[in-house]
Amino acid sequence: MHTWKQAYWLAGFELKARMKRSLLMLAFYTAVGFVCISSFDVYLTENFYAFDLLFLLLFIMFPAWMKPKIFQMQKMDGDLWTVPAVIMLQQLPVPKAVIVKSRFIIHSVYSFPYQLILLVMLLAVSPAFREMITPLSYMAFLIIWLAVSVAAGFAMAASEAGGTYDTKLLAKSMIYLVLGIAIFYAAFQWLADEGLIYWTIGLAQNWPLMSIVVSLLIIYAGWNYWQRVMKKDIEKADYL
Amino acid sequence: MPSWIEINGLQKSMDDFQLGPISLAIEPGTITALVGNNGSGKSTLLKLVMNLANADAGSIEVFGKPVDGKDESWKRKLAFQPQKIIGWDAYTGTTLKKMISSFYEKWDEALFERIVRLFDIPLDKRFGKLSEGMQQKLSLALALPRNTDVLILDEPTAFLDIPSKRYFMDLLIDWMEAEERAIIIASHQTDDLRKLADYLFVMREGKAIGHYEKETLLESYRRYWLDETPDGSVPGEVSRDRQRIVSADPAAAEHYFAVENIRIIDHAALDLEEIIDMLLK
Repeated sequence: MHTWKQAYWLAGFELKARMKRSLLMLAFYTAVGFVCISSFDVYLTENFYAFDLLFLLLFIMFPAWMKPKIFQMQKMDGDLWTVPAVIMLQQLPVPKAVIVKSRFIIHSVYSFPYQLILLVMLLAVSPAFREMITPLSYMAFLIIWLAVSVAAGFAMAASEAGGTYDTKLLAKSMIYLVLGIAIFYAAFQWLADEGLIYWTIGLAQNWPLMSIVVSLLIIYAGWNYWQRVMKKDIEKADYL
Repeated sequence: MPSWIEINGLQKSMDDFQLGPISLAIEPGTITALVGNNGSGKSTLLKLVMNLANADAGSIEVFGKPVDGKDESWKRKLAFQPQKIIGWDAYTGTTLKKMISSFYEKWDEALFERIVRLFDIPLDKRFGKLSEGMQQKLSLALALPRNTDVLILDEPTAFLDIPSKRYFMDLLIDWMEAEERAIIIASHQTDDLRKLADYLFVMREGKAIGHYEKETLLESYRRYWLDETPDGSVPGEVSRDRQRIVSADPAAAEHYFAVENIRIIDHAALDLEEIIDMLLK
């Protein structure tokens, strides 16, 4: 518990340091989210597949992009990539577990409020969605997407440990990542014959309680797994 | 008394650079200067001590604890000021003080305020907006008051003006005298070394050239002006310019001159800068 308390305290410094700018970015990304979500009815009625990718982007990448640049992952000396705070805190008597937790708290602040705003907005702007979903199903849908955020989006938080990456290798990894997502997405469309969001609405409608339980388990597992990954990566990395 | 920091057979390779094997012990009450050309591995060595990177071989123990172990409490006994400060840019001096001071039980607020006044440091400006010299002053103001057992400084005076360097030296000397402590300082500034260091750990291209007691090192080099050029090699001969010879073994050299009937016209000690130059060639 003391570790979490210390992590909250440390995270507070970074969150307060650029509060105004962070709120502006939240407003900007919410506006972007609103523009995207306003076309949700089109997705529901005409199966507009690109919307799934957009939604994934909003849930996985946007929180990382919302952070002020000064606190984002950046190239240091040589091929070292990391978040400056990870180096700064390691030079102080801060245990690695606290560093990891403070990064997760910060990522949570940039993730969950924004994602909740998007999900509430979805209910507000899409009459078709409102008609489809009951309060319990909506709750299940919301938790499913928070699980996506933790299971996939918190990989971004864990990656803040950084390390030494050759630029060529980094470019290759990005290509593989994009290819991987494209293959997953194509396979999903082919197997399920519907979009990812549609599928999650289906899960929430048909098995709301089961979806909530499984999603909560995924949140718990993802939250702990990515923390372990980040701690291991910090231990492995050479911050030279 | 056991060493506070014990480095044994440390090795680390990066791209085309190989550090070590390096062995070094830091005793309480001493100031050890790491000396070497750019790229000799001084900063890498200090970062390895701070466990910011993993060694390929060898070990580092701080107060008996391996730096790469589960127990990270040893970090409370060390204050590290890196050459390039990362992660401070977004914060003001006041915020940094609030953050850093909380980690150190023996934080000396009066000393912090004294240094801030001495260097006229604006605490309300973001670190990233300060000049390099002012950044260095602030980082010193945030390092010394931690009152840790060991202070590790990587090029602490590189951007300081001459009066500030003098103040800095005085501060360090006062800091050392207050309690039993140790300092490791990596520096290119001969003034720092001459005034502060008890020991010099000389490095070249990642390798340790030697660990010298400063006074002994100063006494071990001597320049001779001779009435004739010796035919053979003079014991400890380091350099020769006609009748002017530098020896790293003055006793043996003087015995040789006496045996060879070579008259010493004059002789003088070398200054530290010259000796370091010779060691690094």
